[in-house]
Amino acid sequence: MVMVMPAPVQAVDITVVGSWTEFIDQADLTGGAGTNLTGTYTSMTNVNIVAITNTTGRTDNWRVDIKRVDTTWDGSLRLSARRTSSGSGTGRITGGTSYLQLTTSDQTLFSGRGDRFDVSIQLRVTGASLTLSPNQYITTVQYTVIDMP
Amino acid sequence: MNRVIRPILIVLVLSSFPAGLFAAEIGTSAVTFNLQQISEISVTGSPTLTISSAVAGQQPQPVTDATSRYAISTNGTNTRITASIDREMPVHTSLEIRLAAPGSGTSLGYVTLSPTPADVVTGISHVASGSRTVTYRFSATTAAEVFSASYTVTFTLTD
Repeated sequence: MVMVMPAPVQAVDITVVGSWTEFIDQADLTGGAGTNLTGTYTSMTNVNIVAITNTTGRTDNWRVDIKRVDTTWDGSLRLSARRTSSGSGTGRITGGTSYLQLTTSDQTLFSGRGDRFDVSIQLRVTGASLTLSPNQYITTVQYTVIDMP
Repeated sequence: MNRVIRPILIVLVLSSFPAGLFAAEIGTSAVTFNLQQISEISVTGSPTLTISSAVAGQQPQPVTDATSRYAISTNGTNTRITASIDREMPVHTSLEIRLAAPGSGTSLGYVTLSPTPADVVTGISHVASGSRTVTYRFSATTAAEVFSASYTVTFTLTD
């Protein structure tokens, strides 16, 4: 038996810290009884802190894709994400400063090169209304860093 | 001479990362949108209903007032509105109430008010509706005593 194993590939790492829970009750009606929910809910500007590490250096290009992985999410709730800071580090970062509506398929949120730390992400939900039944609507935001040539 | 042929198995495993396939790493964050039960109702209006005369030989005509309004917001399913008054009406008199349906559900028409909550609209689901009409109807017979009193009507939005 002859086995030829490839040389190990250095993989860029991504670390995501933080989660977001939003409670909605009658205080969220726009004007009390007879009115609907405000409909738009925005997280803190740094609800997620993202770090891109283990690059080969400041010329190592990468991109970050993002999507929803639903547990009990409702399709009428539109979840969006945007980058609110560039963080720090030797590399660079571009894109993602406008809200991107998440789907269940990967879309590129931002890209860059080299290591970046403390990149802030803000999330937003729109489309909430009284047509939704009381429930916990749960999804997972999945960030994928892809090392580029 | 017998020849024994023995199979020789050579497994060649070649692995490589072809161009265009890049390493990827994943990070995740949970998002929970916790929507509570919302059941809000409000009512405006303080009508005065007076029966002061009757046609000779007949019972007094009921009087009505439709100046009151109510508003409702709910994300519940199959909820209902009940109404009650704080005490019994005098004998030989009757106070009824009718609520217009809020775009969802069914109005039960005129319902006699008493201290026991009674359904006035049922089957309400997922609605935000304002300025719906509340109509009161006050009736009395000639056997009723003359009286003047205020009553408090309580509306409840319930499952």
